[in-house]
Amino acid sequence: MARRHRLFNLFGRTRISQAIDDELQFHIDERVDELMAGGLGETDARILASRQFGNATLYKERTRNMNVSQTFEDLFDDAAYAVRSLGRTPAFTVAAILTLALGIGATTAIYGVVRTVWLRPLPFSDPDRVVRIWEKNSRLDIGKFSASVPNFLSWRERSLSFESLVAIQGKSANLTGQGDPERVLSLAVTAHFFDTLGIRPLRGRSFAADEDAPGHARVAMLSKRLWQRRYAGDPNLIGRTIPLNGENWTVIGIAPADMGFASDIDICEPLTLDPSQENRGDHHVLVLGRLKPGVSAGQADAELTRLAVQLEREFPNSNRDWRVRLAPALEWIVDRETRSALLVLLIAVGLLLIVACINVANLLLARASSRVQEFGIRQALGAGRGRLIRQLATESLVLAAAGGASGILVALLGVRGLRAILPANVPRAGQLALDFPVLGAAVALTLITGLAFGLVPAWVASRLDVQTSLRQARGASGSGRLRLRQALVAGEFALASMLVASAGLLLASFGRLQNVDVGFQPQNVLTARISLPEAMYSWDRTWAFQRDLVRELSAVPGLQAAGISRSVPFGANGGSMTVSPADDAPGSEQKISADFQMATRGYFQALRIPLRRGRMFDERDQGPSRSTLLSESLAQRVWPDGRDPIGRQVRYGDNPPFTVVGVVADVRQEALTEDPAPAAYVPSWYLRDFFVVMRAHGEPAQLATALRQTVAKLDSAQPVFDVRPLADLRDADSAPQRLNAFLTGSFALLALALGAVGVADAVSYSVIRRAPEMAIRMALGATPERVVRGVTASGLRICLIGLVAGLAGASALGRVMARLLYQVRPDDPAIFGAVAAVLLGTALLASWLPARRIARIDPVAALRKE
Amino acid sequence: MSKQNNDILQGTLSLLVLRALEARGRMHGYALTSHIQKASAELLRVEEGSLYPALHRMEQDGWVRSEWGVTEKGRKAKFYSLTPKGEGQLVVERESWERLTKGVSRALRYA
Repeated sequence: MARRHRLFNLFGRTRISQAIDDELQFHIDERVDELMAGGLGETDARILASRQFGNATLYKERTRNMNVSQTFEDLFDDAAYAVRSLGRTPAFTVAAILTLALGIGATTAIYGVVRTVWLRPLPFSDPDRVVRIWEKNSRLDIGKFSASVPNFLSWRERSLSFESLVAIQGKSANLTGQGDPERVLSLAVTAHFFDTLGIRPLRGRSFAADEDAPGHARVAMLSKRLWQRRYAGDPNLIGRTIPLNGENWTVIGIAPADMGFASDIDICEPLTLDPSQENRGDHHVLVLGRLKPGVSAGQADAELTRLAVQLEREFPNSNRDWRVRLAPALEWIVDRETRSALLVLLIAVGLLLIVACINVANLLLARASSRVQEFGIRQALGAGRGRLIRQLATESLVLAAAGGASGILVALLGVRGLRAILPANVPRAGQLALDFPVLGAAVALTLITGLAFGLVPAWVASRLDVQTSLRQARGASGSGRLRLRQALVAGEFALASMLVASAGLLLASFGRLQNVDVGFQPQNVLTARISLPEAMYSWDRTWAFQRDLVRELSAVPGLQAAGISRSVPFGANGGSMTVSPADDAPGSEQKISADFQMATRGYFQALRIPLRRGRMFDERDQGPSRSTLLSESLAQRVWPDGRDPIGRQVRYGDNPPFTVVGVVADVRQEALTEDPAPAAYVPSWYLRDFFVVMRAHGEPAQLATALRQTVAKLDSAQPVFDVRPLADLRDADSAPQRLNAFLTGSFALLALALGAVGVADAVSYSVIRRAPEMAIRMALGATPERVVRGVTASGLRICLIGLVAGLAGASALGRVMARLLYQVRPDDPAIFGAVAAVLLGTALLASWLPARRIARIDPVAALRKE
Repeated sequence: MSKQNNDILQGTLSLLVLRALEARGRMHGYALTSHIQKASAELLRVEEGSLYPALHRMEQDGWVRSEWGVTEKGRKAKFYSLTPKGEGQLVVERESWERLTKGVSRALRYA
């Protein structure tokens, strides 16, 4: 009751103040009357009454405090005072708000990414119970691999750990009908997929239990994206048919935009599993499962491992050494590299935020020093110490609030920028947005930072005492404060050093990645895909199409070489095969897993993959030829004794043997960070879904039109898709590293700039403080150079302490980063040396520039001020 | 603000104010100081700096109520009077005061 009254009174402050004034004035008037009755004149009586009454202002304030909720009232007061007082020093205020906005904004944006990609739950019901199941084979050195359909069916039949298991396969199809023909990506899933994961269709329905049975009607779901892009979100599309690969499919529903993975797919279709068509050794489906309640991932893993051993006994040819590996779906979707990268980014931006806080604390401290007099006066006027501290804390919070608000703007811009530069292979990044939890985090950050840097000046104020602060308005006050500032600056410099060193490591790693010799020359090469529908293209027609295409292309001006291949380096669609020498007994134990590439002669020419021995493919090797090329490392592994492989025979899987006609250089196919895998090449073979690779004399993009025209001339119904320069594919592979290096580098630069400002600030503060001392020394004969050197050295000393601590911290952080570094050790001495040099240079500059001012001190003037 | 410094005083002060209002009915602040001073045979002097905050706090707590009125001299003044809740508070405070003084004097005598 009373509280409410007091709160209410908050809004009638003037009225209440007036009433209290009146009441106290009445008291004084009464006293005056009494004194006059005792014989005093009115003037004397008034003076005496006021004196007796004491500090009216203080009493009034106290009395008023009894009426209004003090906390709120003072908050209003303090906030208004804070705004006024900050407004008086616009340069300081803008600097502080900008610093905070950068810190809070960057941290919020990065947290937004971390949340979107990593922390946000998957859009499944009870997502923790959804697991991915791989097959693995330690003998073949395969840690994670797709499952074979027969194995999947055996698991589904025999395992007791799962509510259900689903198989998934990526496919693609040509979508025709209204508009241009286009290539669409399809997710083929067993019928229970949507029910198992608990993903609800946006519209219509998902697949019925029997819709993945062989011979079932063709039904498909559209992704929201395709539905909106190609069909303008037409709700009547459901129930109608669309032509896919020349056959009519009925649209039964629309899949939601976010399915947790496969965010780039266009359609979903049922995956029909026909055991009679499948080979147990052919691993090509992705398996997800939902654990039964009460079954842990570990138990399921153990059960499936037992099953795998059973299957190995039953099918020793195909299942030798094949085991399983199981992990929560989120760990599959957001892999370890991504998580480490996110963690490093979050640490980096957190360090930047701390540096920003320290910087603002330093600014506030400097401000507090120049305000000692103001505090003294306020204290003398009756402001309690607690009130002063609260006042300062409010100022800090007002600053933080302004910084936080601007920070959210920075974060909005940052998120927009990040959305543009986030590499496509970062999972779930498409949904990046500043949602409420992220904004909540920004607000929390604002409060935490406000309190963190606000503590410092409040601490100073708590040590104030009226007398000394009034007397020592300026001058030799607070050597403790100086030490605090030096400690803060050293800490700031340490964190900045840590960031710079981490950025140095990431940049060096990225640099090495850029210089990796991939074994071919990606510059000036354009790649594109064509997929001929089986219904219209017999193998003879397919080979004729490919032959004609390459022939027509070679007439295009500006083109150096053109070829056909199954896949391109750093592109999708690769595959592997077991390789064995055919001259050994069949069923030889010596099986090697190698990339299996189908490529024409033009492919090697376009990519400039050098021939090491023997001959290239030529006219003899059209269509289903039995010639093959091996990569150097594969030849070495097939015949470790160094026999000449030319003319020898190898067997790929269970196929009839191929004759080795040549050996080519090793090529990095998968990733820059992975050593070149052994590779086997056969001429374009049974291949309807293929790449066209073309080397241009100059800019490769110019060839795209020529390619489209040529294909249209041969068959106008065939779309040309995924047209991309090979250099882009290569860059895309290192895009996460580039982004990491770029972001961490930017944070480090910002932190370094803030650190330098902090150092310069501390040095100029000590210059001002020590001006009289310096003046005396100069009067006693010290040269200005010497004095400047002394002050510079004192600044450098602070930095050195920070630098040493920072580099130690960086090598600790390096351990977190180790996974992200390529051919760079987390304690690489060369990089640390370079980083130390940069930091020392910055420290020297930041100390020397303000120290120089000492030389300009007029000793007489400085001494007179004392 | 510096409330804790005169907590004891303030407790005593509210007892004195409540008692004065019980004895004399409606009174303004100035009359309260004179009354307490006189009633205590000039032994106690009420600080204005404490009195008004105390009065306003007691009003917030619902022990006293106030209204603006005019004195015999024709001056506008704020008059305070006891509420039923204040009467109850007076009983409580008086008891605790007597317990305190009894205890203190016993302790002084026998300790």
